[in-house]
Amino acid sequence: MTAPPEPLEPPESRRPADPEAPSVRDGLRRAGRSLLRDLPALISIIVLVLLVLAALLAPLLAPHDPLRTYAEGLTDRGAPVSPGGDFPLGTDPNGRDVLSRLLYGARVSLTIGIVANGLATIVGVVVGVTAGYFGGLADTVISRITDVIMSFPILLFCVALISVTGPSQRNVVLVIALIYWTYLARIIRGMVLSLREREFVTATRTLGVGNVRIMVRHILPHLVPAIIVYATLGVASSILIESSLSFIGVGVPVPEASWGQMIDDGRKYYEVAPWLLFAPGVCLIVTVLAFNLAGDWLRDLLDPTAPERR
Amino acid sequence: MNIVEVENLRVHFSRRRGVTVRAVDGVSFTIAPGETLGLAGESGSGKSTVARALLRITDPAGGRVRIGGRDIAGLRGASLKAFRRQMQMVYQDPYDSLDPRMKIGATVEEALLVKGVPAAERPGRVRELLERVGLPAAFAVRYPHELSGGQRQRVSIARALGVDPAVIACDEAVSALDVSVRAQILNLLKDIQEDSGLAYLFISHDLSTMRFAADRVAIMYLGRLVEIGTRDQVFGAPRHPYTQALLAAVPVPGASRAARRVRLAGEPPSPAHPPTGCAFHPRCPLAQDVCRTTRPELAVKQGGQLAACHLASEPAREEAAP
Amino acid sequence: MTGWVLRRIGQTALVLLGVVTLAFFMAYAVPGDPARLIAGPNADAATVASIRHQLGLDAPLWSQYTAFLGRLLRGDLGTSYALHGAPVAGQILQALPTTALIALGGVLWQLVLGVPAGIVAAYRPKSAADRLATLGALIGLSAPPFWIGLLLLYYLAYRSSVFPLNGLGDPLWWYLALPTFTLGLAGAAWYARMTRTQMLEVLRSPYIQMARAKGLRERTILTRHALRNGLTPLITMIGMDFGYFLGGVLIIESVFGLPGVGKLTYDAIDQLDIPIVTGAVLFAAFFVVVMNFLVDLTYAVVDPRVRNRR
Repeated sequence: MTAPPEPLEPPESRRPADPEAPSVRDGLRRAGRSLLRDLPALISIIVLVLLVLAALLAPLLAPHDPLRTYAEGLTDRGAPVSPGGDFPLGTDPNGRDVLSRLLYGARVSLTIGIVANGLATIVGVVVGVTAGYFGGLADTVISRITDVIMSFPILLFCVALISVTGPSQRNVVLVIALIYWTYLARIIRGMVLSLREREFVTATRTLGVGNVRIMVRHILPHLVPAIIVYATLGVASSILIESSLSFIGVGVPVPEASWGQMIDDGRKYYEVAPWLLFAPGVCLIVTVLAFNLAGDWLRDLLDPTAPERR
Repeated sequence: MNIVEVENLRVHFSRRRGVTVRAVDGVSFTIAPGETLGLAGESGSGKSTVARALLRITDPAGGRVRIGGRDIAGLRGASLKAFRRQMQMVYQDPYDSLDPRMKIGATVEEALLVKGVPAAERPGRVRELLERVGLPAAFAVRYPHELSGGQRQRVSIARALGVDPAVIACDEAVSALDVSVRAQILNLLKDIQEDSGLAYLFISHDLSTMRFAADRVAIMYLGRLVEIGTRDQVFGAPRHPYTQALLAAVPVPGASRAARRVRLAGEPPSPAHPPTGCAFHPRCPLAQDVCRTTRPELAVKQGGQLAACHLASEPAREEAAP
Repeated sequence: MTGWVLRRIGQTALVLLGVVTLAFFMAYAVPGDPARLIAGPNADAATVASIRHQLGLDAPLWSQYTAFLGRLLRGDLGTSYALHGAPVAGQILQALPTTALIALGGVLWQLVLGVPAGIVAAYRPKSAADRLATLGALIGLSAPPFWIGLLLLYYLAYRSSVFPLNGLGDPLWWYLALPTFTLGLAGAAWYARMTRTQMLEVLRSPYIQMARAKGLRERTILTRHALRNGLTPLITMIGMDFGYFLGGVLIIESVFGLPGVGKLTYDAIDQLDIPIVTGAVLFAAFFVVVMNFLVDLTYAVVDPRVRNRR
């Protein structure tokens, strides 16, 4: 066989902007550029940063003790004090400072949203990857379990579980995680089902690489964008669920401050003290909206093909 | 001794409603060390499935596959992994066969890891492997999307070489490449073979590539071999009408006049419902009654190659004599 | 087809059994001591024991489970702790019409608000209308329903007296306007997003481009081709919404003081009346599972491809 002299390879057309572009530095640069073009996303990121700061620095920022009933926090007739003066956002029916409670409430909401979602994400990813990669009996059993849990309306299920186990921050976190992992597991499973048919996975397997290494080194990295997106959106809905639970009275127990529970406190007085509704409600909607906007932006940035989910 | 021995290999896929597709239906061949066997046929003929069965990506329904003298059926766990070092594959799609999120160096290194090369020696070996396939060692830190199609196939080859196999299956390994790049990759494969005595199972639908690359050629149709012989036998004097038709469809320099006789009409039938008798008869211009009822077996024909056709003439007496 | 239906029925039965089992553990295994709850904190040990015996709580878990299953098959969801032994099933059925009415209203709102918004957004992507609809939908998804409900009450019922403050009365739709709107808002947001996605996909498809190339009028293309194909998948989801609304009414009915299943559950939570809570949860989950099955069945009849999937 006479080998012709090897000329330099002609540059073939490269794929434009690879959606699976791997470099972290590239990704960050892309994220920065896209943020500058997307005003709502930029605002949402700023809001989230401020929110985290507020939660972290609550003890420094809060003008009063969030749990203490102040004598001057109630009017002569025992009604809450209006905003202004010593209590910038007024007081609640127990004479506690609303602003301080809001700041500490941010801690509660963020902690519960992030911890519950972190747990759900870990379980969901492990279970989803296992089910999708191995298929067969494991997949069937896992799919039926997620079917069962997803059959319960989320809020009602949470309420029932907590009214049985007793309200506490820990239980709220566990119950939300118990339900949310199923949603992520199902999405991840679907993605793994198609990933494991990709040729590079087959190639790695025929090389003699073990299953665990394939899952960790070749499957998982491809799931990272979706995990980031769904975890972000998941924090938004977890915070909503937590506030609903607290509103119903099975969430964060009093006297600890939580936005949902503050709204519940305020509803009996809204005729005379509407600020009790406004302040925590605005905090809640802004926080959830910021997480949702950030999640949508991340979806566009990282994984434009990701499907909608409820 | 042959490095690959395949006897009566069958691969079935079950579809819904109990329909069984015989994707590979009784295929036998051998490959000697240092030899390239070409496997040609239209898409859907089952040629890729043969390779996948040899690599245990798909499990055969029957028959016997021996690689390096060892029956590969029923290998599990550690012995399956050990077997996999014997045979490797270079895949068709250079865009999909490398993990897009892994650097080239890491991809090649994974082969060394599997082979048990100590961590300290791996970077050096990765560099050697990349240079062996004609890539600068600096490519180790690049990602697949920064490479051209031909460069990616070189990485694929380097990865396969990393476990030091005895056989490599090239499944349409150059089909997706530009013609000029194709020749370079084929030459690289030849070079490696001359150095190391590797055997190749070279799968392609493209007969001009096949003519360039293969020492012997097997033609597949609907899951069965219809003709197998040396390159010169098959290209010079094809005996099966299907082979003749395939050669007539591509301008191959030096193809015989007989090959230009047959035109290939229509699509290949579905392997789920193969025709009776000779599977090729509905498209065969020469088909006769016997072709519709009786399936022809592979037999030695005039010129010395094996063909499965009732109508191909038997070898003349002096040819048949040893 | 028959095979598919049978397999699907088997799956559904399995999921139902899982739902029931989970509810059983929720009702009987997890809580501390229902007998103690019923007897009250001051009862002596003998009273508690006799109540425990009456309820069959001293039997082994397995026989409690089979007894629970047996009662369920007869439509018996147990008896309420707080409502003097009233049957749970009866309580739920009694409250159901109100809830069904609210859920129906919620479905109407989400279709009326969501679908047109989604169509407008999809028809002119990236236009001001699209941005407005998309942001509006996101706000709708991020707003806690209990807060929206209270705001509506404050402004439209308390401050301006346009709508009644709470309860039911005549004309009925006047009393249901605010609660159903609140219930449907999040759903509307979600439908708007889904409609947009679906319509975008359809409008990009080759047969729409073909229709354009043929010179059909845009209106014909939109109404005759795009809408029909884009909206079919959405219509089938409505059945599921009724199930999920059984969770949503928990909040809506309590905010607006409506005597439905949600209010029943809400009050039961306050009194730790666990049979009512689990009864409601079980009822909702049953509803979701059966609806899920019916939706799949309709799909399979309409679209034969579904039957061959999975």
